[in-house]
Amino acid sequence: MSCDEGRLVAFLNGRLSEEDEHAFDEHLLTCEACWQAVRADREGRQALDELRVPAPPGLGDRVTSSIRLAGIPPDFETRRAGRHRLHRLHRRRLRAAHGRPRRVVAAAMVVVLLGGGVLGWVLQDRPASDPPQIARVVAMMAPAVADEPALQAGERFDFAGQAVTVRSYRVEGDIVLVATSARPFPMPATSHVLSGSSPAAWMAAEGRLAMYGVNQPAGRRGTSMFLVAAMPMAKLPEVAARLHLI
Amino acid sequence: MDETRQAFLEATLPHIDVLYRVARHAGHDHHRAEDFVQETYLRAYANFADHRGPSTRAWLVTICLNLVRSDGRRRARRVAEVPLSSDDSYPVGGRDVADEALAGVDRERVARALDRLPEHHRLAVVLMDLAGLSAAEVAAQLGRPRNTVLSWAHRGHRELAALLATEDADREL
Repeated sequence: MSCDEGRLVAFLNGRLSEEDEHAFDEHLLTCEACWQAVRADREGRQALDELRVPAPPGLGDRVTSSIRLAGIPPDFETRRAGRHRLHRLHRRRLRAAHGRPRRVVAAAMVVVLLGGGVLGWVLQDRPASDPPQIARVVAMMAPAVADEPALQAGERFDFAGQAVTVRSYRVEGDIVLVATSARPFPMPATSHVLSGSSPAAWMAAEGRLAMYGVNQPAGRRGTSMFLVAAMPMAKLPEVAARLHLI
Repeated sequence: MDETRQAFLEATLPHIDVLYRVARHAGHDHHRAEDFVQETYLRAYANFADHRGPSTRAWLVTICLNLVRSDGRRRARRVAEVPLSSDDSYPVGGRDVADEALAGVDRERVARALDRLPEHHRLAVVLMDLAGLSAAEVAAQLGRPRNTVLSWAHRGHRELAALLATEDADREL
């Protein structure tokens, strides 16, 4: 029998017939090259045992939490019908019509929000006929969200070293932006901390915009999040619950 | 909604260990393995309604592998990034700390050697030996014939053994 890698690989994977396997056993007794190849293969496989380790503790919780924060799952029937493809196309057309990608809009939104308490600057010193910039941002977001609630992967941004993911939802006609991060969000100076809540929750209002945040304690793994929407502040916890965020 | 999410988690969470190994060893960006796993679950959740395959594990590994490889291609086009934290060590399990530390040293050696294998050989080894996929599933993942995949895995095993043996010899000098 001559040396043949295909036969050697079949032998190692137990895929030779009984007769061929016996013949290969005989071959191994006289062929140093094949014998060394078999030994090296087994040593390599054995070394890999070291890497069969479980996922780090906490990764399952992190995944479960992120799935919860991903919000409302896709409408299965709608997806099967392929309407999501049409929807994406529709969104692209709207974006092209606005001449500004949604990513930039969302980035502008988060820059404003992360300033914590600085929302006012976009609402002041504007002519009365000029709608507040933040309202225009929200209005521009409106066409970008699904008519029916839909799961989104989210847009990711990095602001001053804080990685933030932003998703947008339509809840009973209102646009709700949800920002999530592995680090707590800075609270606006005007925020009210909700007593007795764990993790720490806060609410704030700027003009007609309301914010509601839930911050994980520093040093503890988990996802902090906050919502912003043009609706009464007291309604936001209910919206968060409806989106299965809390 | 809750039922869907629960069904998704019940079907997919048992494969989190496999996904972590793939995320950690299929590419070279070890410190992002947990991020890749989380993103894999988010994408899988978004497409759960479309999942009809017989193997949930193979489906999840496909998503994870695509993420790792596309990230690798993006990084190859960019200037190299240096992580702020160099803590690439494996998580410590419930074993005795000293035993775990020694085992960690061996794991790091094997992980470093695996990282040096040619990409096709490394992928075949990771998917077959660490993810537990069949040769046919790996062949479908990599778009190559089954025998080619088996041959790559075999060469990967041999190269791994040779690299570790060389390292041992160097340490004895």
